[in-house]
Amino acid sequence: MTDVRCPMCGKLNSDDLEVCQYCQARLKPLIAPPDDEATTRELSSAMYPADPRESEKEAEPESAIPDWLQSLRPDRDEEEYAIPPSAEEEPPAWTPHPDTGSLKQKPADAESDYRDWLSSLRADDESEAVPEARLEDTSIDWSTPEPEGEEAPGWLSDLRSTSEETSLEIPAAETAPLSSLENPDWLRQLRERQMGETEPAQDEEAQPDLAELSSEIDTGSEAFSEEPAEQAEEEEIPDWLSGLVDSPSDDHPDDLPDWLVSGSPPPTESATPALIEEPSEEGLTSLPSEAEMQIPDWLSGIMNSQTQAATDELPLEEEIPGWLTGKEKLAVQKQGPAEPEGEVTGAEFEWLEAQGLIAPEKKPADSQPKVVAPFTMEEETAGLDTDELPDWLKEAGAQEAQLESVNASEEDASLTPAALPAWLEAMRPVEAAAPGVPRVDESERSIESSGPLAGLRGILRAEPDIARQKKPPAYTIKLQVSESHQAHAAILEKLINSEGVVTPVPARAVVSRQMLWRAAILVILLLAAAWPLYSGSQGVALPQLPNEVFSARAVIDGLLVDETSNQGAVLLAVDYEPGFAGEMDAASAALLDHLMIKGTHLALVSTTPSGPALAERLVSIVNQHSNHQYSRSNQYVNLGFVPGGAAGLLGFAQSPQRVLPYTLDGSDAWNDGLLAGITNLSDFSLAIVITENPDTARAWIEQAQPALGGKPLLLVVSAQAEPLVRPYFEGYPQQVQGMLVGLAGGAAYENSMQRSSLARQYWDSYSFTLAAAILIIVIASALNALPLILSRGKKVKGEA
Amino acid sequence: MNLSTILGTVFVLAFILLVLGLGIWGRKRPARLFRDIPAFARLGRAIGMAVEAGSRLHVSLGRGGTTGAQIAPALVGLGLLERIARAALVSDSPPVATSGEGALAVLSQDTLRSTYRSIGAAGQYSPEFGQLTGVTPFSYAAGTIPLIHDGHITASVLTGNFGSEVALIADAAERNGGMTLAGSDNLTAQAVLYATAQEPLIGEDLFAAGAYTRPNSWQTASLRAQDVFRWVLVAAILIGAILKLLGFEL
Amino acid sequence: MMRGKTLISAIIVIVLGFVVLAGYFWPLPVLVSLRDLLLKWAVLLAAVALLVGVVNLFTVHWGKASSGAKGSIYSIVLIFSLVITLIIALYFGPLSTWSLWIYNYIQVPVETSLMAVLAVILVVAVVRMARQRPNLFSVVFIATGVLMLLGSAPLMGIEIPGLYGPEGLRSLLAQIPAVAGARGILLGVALGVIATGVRVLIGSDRPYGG
Repeated sequence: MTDVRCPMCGKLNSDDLEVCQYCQARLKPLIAPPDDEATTRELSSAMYPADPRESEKEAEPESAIPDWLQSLRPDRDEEEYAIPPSAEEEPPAWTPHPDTGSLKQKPADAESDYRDWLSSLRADDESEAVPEARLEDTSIDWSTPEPEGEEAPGWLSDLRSTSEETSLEIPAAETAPLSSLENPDWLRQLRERQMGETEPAQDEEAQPDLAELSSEIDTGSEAFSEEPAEQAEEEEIPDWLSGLVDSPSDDHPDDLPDWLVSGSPPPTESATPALIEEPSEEGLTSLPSEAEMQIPDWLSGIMNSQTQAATDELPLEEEIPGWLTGKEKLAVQKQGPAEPEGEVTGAEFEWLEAQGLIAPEKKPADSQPKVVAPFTMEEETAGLDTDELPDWLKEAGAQEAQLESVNASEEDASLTPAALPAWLEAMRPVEAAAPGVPRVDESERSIESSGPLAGLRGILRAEPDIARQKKPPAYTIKLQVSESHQAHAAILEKLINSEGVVTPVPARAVVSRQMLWRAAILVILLLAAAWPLYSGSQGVALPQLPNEVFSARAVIDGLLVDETSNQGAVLLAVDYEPGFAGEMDAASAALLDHLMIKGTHLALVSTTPSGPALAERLVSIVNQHSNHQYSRSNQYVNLGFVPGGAAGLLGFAQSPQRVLPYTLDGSDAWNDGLLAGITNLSDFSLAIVITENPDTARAWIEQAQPALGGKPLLLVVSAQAEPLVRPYFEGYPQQVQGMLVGLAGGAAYENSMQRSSLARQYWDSYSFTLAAAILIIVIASALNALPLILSRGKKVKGEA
Repeated sequence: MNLSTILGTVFVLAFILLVLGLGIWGRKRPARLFRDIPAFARLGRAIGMAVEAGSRLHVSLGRGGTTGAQIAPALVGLGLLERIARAALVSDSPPVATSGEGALAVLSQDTLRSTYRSIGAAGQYSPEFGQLTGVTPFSYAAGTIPLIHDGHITASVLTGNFGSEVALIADAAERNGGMTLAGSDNLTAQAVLYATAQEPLIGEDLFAAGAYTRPNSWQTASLRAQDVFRWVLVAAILIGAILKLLGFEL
Repeated sequence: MMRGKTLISAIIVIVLGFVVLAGYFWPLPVLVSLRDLLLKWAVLLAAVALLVGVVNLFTVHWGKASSGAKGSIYSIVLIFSLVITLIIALYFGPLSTWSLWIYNYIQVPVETSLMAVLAVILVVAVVRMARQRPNLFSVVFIATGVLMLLGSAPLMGIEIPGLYGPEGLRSLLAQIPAVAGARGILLGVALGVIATGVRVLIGSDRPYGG
């Protein structure tokens, strides 16, 4: 179910609603059902009586109105006012006759409606756009094909056929008879001609327009009569038009069609004569008989009356309708003629009554004649699409223009401008005035289809255009995507698609490149170290005695040992870690061997928890390699571990018996045994510290050396500690009297002793391993650094 | 009381007074900017990345005794341990501390316990967070290496008294792909760490860790006092060398 | 409550620290005796801390072995070795044949093997440093190491003149530049140690859980 948008508030309502549920405005126009059209018309007219045009439109069937006549209407909706197939419908009885201005059965509001209608027509004339609008309306109308099955009125069809022959274009939709409410152009033209004809004959101001029109018609007819001779082959003036001047028939007041009398639309029968016929040779001076012309009776009556007025110089004041008297031709205005002024009575249609065309009716005394905006052929032809107008109208327009120009010149010479009443002045078309009213091409405007303003054009919509559900225009979107954009988009798509996807972590390689490197280096070093051991090679010369080793040798050589007095007891601090046992054992073995040779008693002590065990191990190794028999409690005592680091060492240095009263095996070392009589560190003849840690060496030097009382202190240190310990040897006062540094020191001491020990066994392997290490470092470093050097060179070249 | 004792007394008292003065004065003035040490900046990033990755941080305090000067780098390590513990509290894997000395193991446990308690996460603490991995240097290294490999360690902080065995620990961390920041008061360890660690701290850079990681007025004051007395020592050495050259005996 | 405990701990540390420091610089009998007493307490506490550490080691590995985590076999070996050594050393004595046998044939070879591995690691580290840190200091480092190695012993029986020997370049480098650099670093380290100690004495650093 489609929704209907309210024309007032713009909100959507259900299709089945009659009024808007929000603002109570009517959603659907009051259109009578097809089976009760008359009732619908009455109802609609009762509801919307303001616009006579609307009522006119609703009243008369579409089929009865020719297109060119319908085009005169300003707001024309094709759909609504399409020419119905049947033209048998009659306008409602209350619709006023456009010519007579009165109605046979004129309702109270009909006259006002008619006046509004006429005023609207006049308002249309005031703007130049109106004719064009009408023209465009007519263009639409012209294009409307005649529905099949419709039968145009005979007179109209004759006109059409004649126009076809005479290249006059008659719209196919001209099937509807003329409406009594319409003011066809041709009729206006006729009136204008009559007025133009009669004007020169009268000097009075109240020259009726009809006289002018008549004169114009006469002249026009004369012109027409002249033209056929010239344009006999090109155009054919209808007989009725030619007969307008000659014989205005007033003998046929009763010949007016009933519809014209009653105000109802004429029948669609072919009773209406064709309007266009081949002009007679006599021209338009004499109207052919009706039988020949086949013109409507009312029209013939007009013609007759006009002709009679032209020939008989009718008292136009009485006969000329008020609307004609008050009518001013625009052409005359352009040329500056004074418009005839005069009171226009309400007897607008008196001329018709005078002709007997219509029954005299009660005319309101105060009724103002309806002044129809004077149309001139000039105006009309200016705005009309000449290609679409019938030829006879074109000729009429041309002739009228000629007449007007002639009359205007004549008027300028003879006539004085008439004083128009104010109301008439107000109704004067302002075509010559402000031309600046912008024309609005109302044909582009859509016609309102619902609501109280249905059928009108140019209505502001209740709903904004933006709210109208229009299908948006389809714009082709063609992105200009570059290759880089595509690549980026692909990357982004890949990232998004990979989101949530579990990517397995690559397993570590069992054998990595780094492991291979390590394995290779290990193999090389092992081979370098194992080969001399395996081969038993001892070809590498031991080092010469360095200064620090010489000093140490000298100290031990000067050591006086008295076994009976325990003189020469040596304090031996084994303070290296088990991991450095390979180096430290080899470095200290020769020194210890020398002490064992001298028979000194040894007091083993350590500041590390594993020191005592290491001390035992060292003694056993030396015993093994040097063939000594040093045993615990006989030649050496193991005092154990001194806790507290440097602080503990300080305490031990100050009071060794108090810090270590017992040996590791639980015996009293200081009162009875090898250390009897020794109470301080100064009682020892020598202190030797074996350590790989320079901090330990420093602690012994700083804490224990002062307590030695000038007794020598020897150090056996690892090669890594040499830089930190050497200052103590080379400094002044010399705090360290001798020093063995690493395997080289031990080897040198062995060399001086001429005794083979661990150092001699390790020296060849040490030499070979050292060489291998140097080669590995140099070659591998060069291989690793070479690419970087080359790349840097390329960078420099590139920058240069 | 000999000259060396007097000089030592004066030196220590002056240092204390200078630290106190600079600390009190520094509270009222903006912090002084020191030279950039990239190692601490990378440490911060490594901590953040470890927290985000849910991996573990490792702090090793060395094997220095508590009764000597070797405790000083271990104290620095304890300060870093507290800072790391606070930063990595939200991590799935809390940091772990290893040491080669019993007293340091107890101190590391106490530091972690107090840190968690101050944050309000006392229930998250476990004594396993502070471990004694060995009583000898190489056993200490041998006990630390499996923890680095199996404990998903992505960053190791080695601050304490080490020997050359620290190369084993640093190499294990390097092979594990983690970041290694290491410093020691031992020259041998410094030389070894220069070749094996990613971010070695040479000399007294280790003792500036407090001022760079958790700056306060006292940390800054002590660092500035170090700078002052460094120049004093330089002057004293130069003057003594000149006097020695001139023939004066001290 | 916690703040009170922290305050008490800080007071104890500060007071006793200054007493020990003063005892080192002012050899007053009271100060010296206090210093000695406190140091002995420190030594005892350090020994107790060692036992606590061993217990902690046992506890950690016991948990690993019980949970069956990765590497639990090594924890089982450690626990077994610890127990066996403890029993033997307590029963037979620390210098007994069995104790020394364990020490001489298990601990010492294991640790000397690790030392040998260290040598390989150091060689690999030097090679890697050339790739990872190709700067001037790395070049100087490697060059110095190579020179020292060249002057330490005859290379396969070949003594390099000018490098090897008491008057060789190696001795010169070890006695002058190395000592000078070491002295400078040690001075800086000493200043750092002093600064750390001062921060503990003034209560700025509280590594004792406060």
